[in-house]
Amino acid sequence: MIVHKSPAAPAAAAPAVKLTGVGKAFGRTHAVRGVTLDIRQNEFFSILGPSGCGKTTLMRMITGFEEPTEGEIALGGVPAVGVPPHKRDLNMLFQSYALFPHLSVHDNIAFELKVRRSRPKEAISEAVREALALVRLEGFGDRAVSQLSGGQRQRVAIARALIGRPSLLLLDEPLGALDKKLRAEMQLELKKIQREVGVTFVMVTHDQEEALTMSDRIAVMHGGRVIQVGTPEQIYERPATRFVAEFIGTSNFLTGKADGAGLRVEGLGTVPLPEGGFTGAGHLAVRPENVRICSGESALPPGWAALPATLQQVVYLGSATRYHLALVDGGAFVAETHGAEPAGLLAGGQVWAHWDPRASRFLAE
Amino acid sequence: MTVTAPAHAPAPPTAPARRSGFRSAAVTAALLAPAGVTIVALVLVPLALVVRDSFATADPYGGIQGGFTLANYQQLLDPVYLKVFGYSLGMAALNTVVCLFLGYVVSYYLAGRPPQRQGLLLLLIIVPFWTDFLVRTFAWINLLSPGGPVNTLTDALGLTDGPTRWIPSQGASFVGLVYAFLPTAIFPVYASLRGVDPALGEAARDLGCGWWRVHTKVLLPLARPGLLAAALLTFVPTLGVFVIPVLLGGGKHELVGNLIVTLYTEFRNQPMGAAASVVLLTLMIVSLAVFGTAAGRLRRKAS
Repeated sequence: MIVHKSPAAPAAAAPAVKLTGVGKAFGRTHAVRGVTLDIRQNEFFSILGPSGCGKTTLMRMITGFEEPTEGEIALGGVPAVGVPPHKRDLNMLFQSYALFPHLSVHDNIAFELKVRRSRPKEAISEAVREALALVRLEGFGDRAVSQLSGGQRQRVAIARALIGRPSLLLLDEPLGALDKKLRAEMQLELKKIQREVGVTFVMVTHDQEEALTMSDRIAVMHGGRVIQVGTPEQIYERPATRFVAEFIGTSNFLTGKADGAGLRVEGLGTVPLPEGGFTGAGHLAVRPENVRICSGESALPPGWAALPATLQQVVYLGSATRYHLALVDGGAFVAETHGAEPAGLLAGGQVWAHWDPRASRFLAE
Repeated sequence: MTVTAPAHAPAPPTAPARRSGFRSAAVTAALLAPAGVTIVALVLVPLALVVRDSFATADPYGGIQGGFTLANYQQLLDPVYLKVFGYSLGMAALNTVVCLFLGYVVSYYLAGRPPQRQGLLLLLIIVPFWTDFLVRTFAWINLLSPGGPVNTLTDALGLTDGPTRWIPSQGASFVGLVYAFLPTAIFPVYASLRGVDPALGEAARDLGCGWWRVHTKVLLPLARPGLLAAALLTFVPTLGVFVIPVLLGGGKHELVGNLIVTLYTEFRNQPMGAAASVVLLTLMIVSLAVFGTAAGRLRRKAS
């Protein structure tokens, strides 16, 4: 049974992928547990997490290479558990590209159309030409796979995966094997291709920058569970847990007990919270770019949180300057500024680290 | 070996070059000599003698009388002998096909196991190889004997009723052949399949192949060099086998190897035995050439 997308059918309104309580156990090891997730039609969705978080297993369950040990998977509104991979209306972009070494570029790209026998011969050649144009590899059809560079192989893999116009394309760490410059180029390119073909992309990655740049929405995974789902802004600005705040970008953390007055941190006193109403143990997360430093207490803006610290090191990054601070309790704190370096700041000097409480985030334990 | 002129005494460039060329040629010849002598004395000379004998006439006691005649080859054209050659080629072909099929299935299974397990399983396949060929063939006489392990099993499954005599038979002989050559067929195919990225099989499934077409469209083409090597290693040696048909086949359905032994020993017709050997050798060289051409074409296609 091949599930074909048809915009007129009511199924078009169904999410491209719907996971309900999906879990996978290998023996006694639970790789994925209780994942419930909707991936919308035509969205660029990323599953982000460190290695071993279960993201690859989750993706392999969507493709059908693994069957879940619990829960339901629906693709375009149709139950998919038990449907073998070759009967699912989706394709995958493999991390190693998995191009067939015994076939030419043309035959690699034409592979799916030939296997599915869905089109006459002339139409296949035409489709391959279009696919090659999509990935800007016109005229490469007769080459052998071994004659291509890494970036070109990736483009061929994309063309091969998209030629059958699947409803869904899964990308497994698609840019991991490319060098830095090529990676930045392919990030934009993949995004452009996704808009052009209008296919739902689901990307699995451990690279938070990649996920933030490319995705419409991101699911952050940790320990087999989905911790948070949201737009890149939501994930970055409003992380749900300390793990998310740590994994996405960098954060300073102050740990203590919240009450009506603020967060009581042992050895540092009370730090104001972004808003009232928090109680109990938790962490206050502050992004380095939201932290300002100055040398005199008089320069502190009213209402801001402020902590005295020793400036330990100034690191010039080109587009920004990073200040490594030591708080009075010995804890490390980092501030980052984009403008000119505030005058009179020398390593070893006493400074005030301060930030607008609204730019910080309280994460309950 | 190269000789460099001392830096402090620059000599005319040609003289040392020529001397070093001469010396290195002498060294090369000296190093090659043992192997060359061995090959000439133990391979080429006996081969030449066999070829020479195949054109000789026989004395009444089967000895070599000398002279030159094509009669030995003409006699081999007798349907009795042609049948043996035909039967041998057929058996070799059948054995090759069965070994390739089983070899592919086993290799596919092996290549899909976890790496640590693969070593152990390979060892289990190699172990019988360390036992003498004759002993292994005798083992089959025990296994297939009436009331033996295989018979007990087929009795239990209801396939036979009581002690059954399988030896001698063509079937037993064929089982012996497959058993003897299966490991030789497994190794090259396994070597090919092990080098195949597992993601290729998944990519094929992802792109619409059921399990059958995963094999026909991707894995079999990628295993082709191994299959070709396995075919060569099975087909050519099967042509020369003679122990198995004697022990398990009762010598009734002879292969060329048995024919040669019979001609030399029982018939005491050495020139004819030599002629049969030369024909067998020619058949092997022809098959080598055929497989070699196929392999060459495969390489050209791949590059």
